Amino acid sequence: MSRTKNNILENWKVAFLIGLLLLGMVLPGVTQGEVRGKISGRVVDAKTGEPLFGANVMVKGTLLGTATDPDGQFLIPNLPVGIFDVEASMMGYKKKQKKDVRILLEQETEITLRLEPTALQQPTLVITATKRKQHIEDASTSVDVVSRADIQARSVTNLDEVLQNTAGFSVIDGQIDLRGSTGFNWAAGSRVLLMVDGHPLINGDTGGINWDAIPVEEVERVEIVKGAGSALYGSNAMAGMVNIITRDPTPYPETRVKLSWGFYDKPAYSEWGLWAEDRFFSDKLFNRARLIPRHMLSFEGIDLSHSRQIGKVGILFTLGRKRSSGYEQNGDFSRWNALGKLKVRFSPQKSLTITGNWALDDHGDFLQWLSKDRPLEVPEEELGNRVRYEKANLHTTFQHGVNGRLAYTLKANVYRCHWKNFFYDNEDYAITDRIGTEAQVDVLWGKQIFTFGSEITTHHANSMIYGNRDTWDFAVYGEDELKFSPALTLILGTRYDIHKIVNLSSDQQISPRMGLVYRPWEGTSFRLSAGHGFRAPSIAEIFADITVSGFHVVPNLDLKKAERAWSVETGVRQALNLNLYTGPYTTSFWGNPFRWTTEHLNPHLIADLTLFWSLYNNMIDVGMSPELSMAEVQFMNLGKARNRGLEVKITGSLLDYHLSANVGYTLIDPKNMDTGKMLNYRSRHRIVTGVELRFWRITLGWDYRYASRIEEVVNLLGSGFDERVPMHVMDGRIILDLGSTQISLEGKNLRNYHYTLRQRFLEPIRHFVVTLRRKF
Amino acid sequence: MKRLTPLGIILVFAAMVSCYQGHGLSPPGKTQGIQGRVTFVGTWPDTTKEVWVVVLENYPEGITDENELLLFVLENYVNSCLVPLFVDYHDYQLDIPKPGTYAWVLVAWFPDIENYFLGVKELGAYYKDPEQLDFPTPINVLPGVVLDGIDIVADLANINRETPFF
Repeated sequence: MSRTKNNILENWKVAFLIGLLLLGMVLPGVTQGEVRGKISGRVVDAKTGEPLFGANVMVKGTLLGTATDPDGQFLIPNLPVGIFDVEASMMGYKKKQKKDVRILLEQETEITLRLEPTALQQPTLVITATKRKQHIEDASTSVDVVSRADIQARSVTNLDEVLQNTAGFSVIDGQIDLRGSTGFNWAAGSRVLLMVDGHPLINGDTGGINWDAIPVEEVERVEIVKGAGSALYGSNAMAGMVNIITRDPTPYPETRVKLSWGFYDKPAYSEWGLWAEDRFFSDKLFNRARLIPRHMLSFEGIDLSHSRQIGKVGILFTLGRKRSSGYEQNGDFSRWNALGKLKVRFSPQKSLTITGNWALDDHGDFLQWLSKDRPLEVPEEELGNRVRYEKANLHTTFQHGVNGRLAYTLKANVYRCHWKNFFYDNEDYAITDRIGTEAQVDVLWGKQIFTFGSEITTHHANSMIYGNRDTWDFAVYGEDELKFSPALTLILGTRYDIHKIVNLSSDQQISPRMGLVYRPWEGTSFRLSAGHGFRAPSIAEIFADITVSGFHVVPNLDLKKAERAWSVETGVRQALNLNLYTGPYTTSFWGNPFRWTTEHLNPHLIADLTLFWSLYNNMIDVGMSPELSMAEVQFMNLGKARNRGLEVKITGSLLDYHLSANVGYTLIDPKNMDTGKMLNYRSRHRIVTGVELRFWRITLGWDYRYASRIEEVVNLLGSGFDERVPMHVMDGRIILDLGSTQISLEGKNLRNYHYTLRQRFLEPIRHFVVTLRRKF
Repeated sequence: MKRLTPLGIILVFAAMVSCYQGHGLSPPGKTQGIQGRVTFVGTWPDTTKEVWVVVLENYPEGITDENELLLFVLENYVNSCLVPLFVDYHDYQLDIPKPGTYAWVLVAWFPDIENYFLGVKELGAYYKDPEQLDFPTPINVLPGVVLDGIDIVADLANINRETPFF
């Protein structure tokens, strides 16, 4: 580490502090000297007149917006005097705009917005693509949103089980792969930035993701942004971002309970289940006539949450407990998790949110199965291998919409992970911290919105396998959104990052981005974006010196370069809402036990087509060097790689909400430019589809996921020659909704299809789960 | 259209996908593999650490760069077994995960040094005709068949002789 580099870093620290000071000096100046008024009103259902709680209200041409209270009412103060359009939107309703609303000096203008229901249950506002609220069709990159309804309809242990029903999204052993960007990199590093409420949730050591640290029951929605995002988010966001938005405390006291219990069926081949004797459900039920015997291969969970408002302070607290025997040897786990969220609303435009989350996971562990004829068993010496993993996360956000032209956000977060192995061949441990701060300012200037900010992040790891290691990241970013006309928007932005590995090296990155959105008419949106992304190597990838199940991961102190990528994407999105009058229309069901008549087919359709292309440089992957032996691997910068492909998504519904369906197809062509081979752990074709039918109080749902055979894998000790098959997974569910009580029965992997995503690790076999939800 | 039954559509669609039979991966049939005798010629060096019988899918013809060669070995590795040290001969048996043709069955010797992988030497390989030593003889492994007679002569006397690769 040269003296010059040290000076550069010190200079950047100083520059950041000066920037914050300047910001503090400038803000009052910008906010002064304006004449102001306010706007208030209600948002109601156009059909029933019922007030709508949680509707988003935005004043167009300003940075101000708010959400309605339980009475459907809202208030937006500090508006400049003038004439504005006011827009209200909410999931399940068509957005509504009230034009030419006059804001008068020191007066309150009242309006009422009536929203028409729509069948599409998709959130319309997203925040992740630009770090500001925007309509999904205004985003210049592909954005998918998984709603709370999608998540609550399925009983899952980890959130990734739901997200895998999204086009182009797959997970191998916890690692996110967006459109073939990652494949599987042995749980080290992530080319997709995972965030909770806009705060990164990336481990301090491996740079990986712990899904069990995310409180599934408290998720409001998940925004998935595909394409290079480093221009705003820096390292890790080279292939996209996944932002998990947790729900806000409710304005009224509310207590929720969720109980779930499930069991594993026998594998399709009885010889694979011999290890478990008669622990499978069917053995117990039919051979021993005991319905819920002890020691069955089963899983259960309980989640409790309470939320209320005390004055200006909203409080949400949850506690969860989950336990599973697993469907294979060493597949068991025992988990606790707790979350507390506190939101203080000083005014409609000023709030402070503090969220704390803790999770403890004690689970069995193994690397590869015993053998192909005993794939649910592990090598004898690994029996009893365990990992104890504790995570704690605290993040806080202060948001202030100063006036219609200026808003700023201050963020800080701490994420601590502590894991310890209890393996037959080692008892390694690591304590890691990730600490980050960010200041962001949004300024409206004529037809332009400037977003700029600064970030400081540090990672620290103290471990037997890495030693004591520290990294520092400093960044400044800026983005300009220019509206040439209501139909045409141009986005230009860039970010400058310095990544320092203490006592080893430092690296700098400039990540520009360009986006163009053209909306020639209502419902149609063309988009084009191009950007640069990067990912700095994690502490584990450089320093890890560990032996796992006979494989030795060797440190690589020469791994100093970040991996980089240029990405281009173009796409078109088309929404169709048709009100087709059919006359009296009768729909009957199986045996006609239920029957309803409607006069409208009301088809609604959203179709989206995307073409994408990425070129990677210095890609970090597992590899060999002359110093290594057959059972030794290390992470290293490989050569160039290219990925290109297309994605088609269609979402539609019929019969006033009652029947909805979606299908997504992703084709990728990822190639190692040096070897000419396909990149490891990628499926060329991927299809996700789902159908949901609602009648009376019952919902029937069906999901299906297909991925073509993974063509290339790392050949560790001959495992590359093992048979691999395509993935065919079918899930089904039936939900009975009795208002405050909901009961569901789900079957997962109903065809009991056996497959691997990484070699010698069988994915979950068929299992069933019963869930009871009750709201008080 | 008016008598359209949405549930019927769903069931037909689900049935179309579900009618795909099979459960993906299945238990292996009768295992295929190779077996034979490794006969050691000469005196065992005291510096011997390990000796392996190794099967590789292809032969690294034309590769001279050390890095490329190691990468080649990693990518073409099929299976291996350890051979007891200081014996005159050893009868081995090796499973081959997938039927097919495999180009190089060799005996590899590792010295007892730090970074011992760098000191690897080829003691011998499978040659059907001992007079034709230009290229090792490829073996053709058929499903469920254990191919017998894959005998190898391991030359300990000339451990430092020139070999194409190690």
